[in-house]
Amino acid sequence: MANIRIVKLSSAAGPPEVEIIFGQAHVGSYRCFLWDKNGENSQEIAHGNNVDPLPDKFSLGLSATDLNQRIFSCEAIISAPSSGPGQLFSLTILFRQDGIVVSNGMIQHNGALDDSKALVEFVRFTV
Amino acid sequence: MRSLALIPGSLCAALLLAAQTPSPGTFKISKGSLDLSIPESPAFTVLGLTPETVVRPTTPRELATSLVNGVDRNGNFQTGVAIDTAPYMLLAGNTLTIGRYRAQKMSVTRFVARTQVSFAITKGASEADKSARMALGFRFTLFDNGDPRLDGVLLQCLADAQQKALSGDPIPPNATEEQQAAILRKREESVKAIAKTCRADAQKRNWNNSSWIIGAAPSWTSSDGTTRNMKASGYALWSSIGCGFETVPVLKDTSQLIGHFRYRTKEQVPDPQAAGKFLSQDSTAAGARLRAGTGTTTANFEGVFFHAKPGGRKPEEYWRISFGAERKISDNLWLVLTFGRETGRKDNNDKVFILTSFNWGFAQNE
Repeated sequence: MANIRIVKLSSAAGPPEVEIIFGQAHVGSYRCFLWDKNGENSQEIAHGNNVDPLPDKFSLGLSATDLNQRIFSCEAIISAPSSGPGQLFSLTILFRQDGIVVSNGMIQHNGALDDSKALVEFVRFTV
Repeated sequence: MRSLALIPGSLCAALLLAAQTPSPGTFKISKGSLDLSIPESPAFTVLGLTPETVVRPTTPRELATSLVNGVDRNGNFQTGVAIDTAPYMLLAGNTLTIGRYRAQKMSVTRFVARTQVSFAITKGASEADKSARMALGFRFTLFDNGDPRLDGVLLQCLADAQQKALSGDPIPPNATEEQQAAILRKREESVKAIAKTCRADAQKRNWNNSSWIIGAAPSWTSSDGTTRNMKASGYALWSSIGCGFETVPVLKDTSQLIGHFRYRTKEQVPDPQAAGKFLSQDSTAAGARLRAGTGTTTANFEGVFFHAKPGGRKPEEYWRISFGAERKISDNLWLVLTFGRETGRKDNNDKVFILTSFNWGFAQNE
């Protein structure tokens, strides 16, 4: 079983939003899914990259109550424009309600990068 | 001398004015393949351990180590190490997106992100020169049309490779860590295979694009090589402007002209009239280098005018003419070979020199 983080949502706040940020001025692509409570029946809710002009911020399309115990996954790949050791990568996933980052709602991956790095992150929502 | 130094800058400025900023999809990719080689460390530059006098205006590395073993211009064997870093990328790079880096034509963020700091230390290994030298180098990139992060075609190529690797079934939450790792590894390999071609094509487009850097570096010298005798030995200021002939079809994929100016104070140089002794010297250099190449080999011709004022002796002026080549031996390992001679010294002490060095470093050169 994958390592799943817990992100706590507020039932009193607005619909949750997600933002994907690729740092270190690298190229990044992602796709994100929503799963049921048992980690089955995936539904793609967003995909994109940071090269196109489209914002990498999207709504989960459900209220916090409807998301309770459901699993969210996000898969990403980061590539450096120039390859070679000595570079760093950074991926940040932010969960917001009403524009405010929720409890445990900032997930960050950092590390060394020499070419390309593939990542996956799993989150279970609680209310 | 002054007019000579202005030639490449003026020519480049005229060509740049006529240049159109390349847009994605408009690049003509030639069959040739040229590489950027390993950028000179600013700290090595002031210590005189780069074989060429004219510094190439390249995009700095984010974190790199360079080693040099070679013979300096005075004929003394030197070994050295340099550490180069881009402080902004280390400290604040996590919040710097590619969109913000590329946002404007003139960007403060991009300027700060490209600023490079380096530290180098070298040691003479011959009887005539046992000195140790240290330098702290700062390099500022005013513009660089060859910056891969500004190459929209390259970025889209990488994004397409990523999208392709991300296609297929998603990784399920109930997958074991081993299963996850295997899928992620497969995706990385898929992207790397395509990215290699993306980057090679980008290097063909960008290796000789126009750019401009300025640098500054204080230095310290210990004439006997001991740390307790390490003393300040002046500073250096330099600037290089490279012209990639972006608007000249015959030259734009094969050639680069670089103009260079350098001012150096209180440099400790071996006294040619007394072995083991050193002179304090102020110097000014101005010149140009023409680079041309095919494949992973570049050839260059360099002409530099020097005006030097050795302490307690008459000023001297002379030319240094050299011809050199860089050859990529393997990833991150380059052989640099330079032949040259000086001409015009009043004491007829013109030197002929052959400089060789293996440059090995964590460079952005794949």
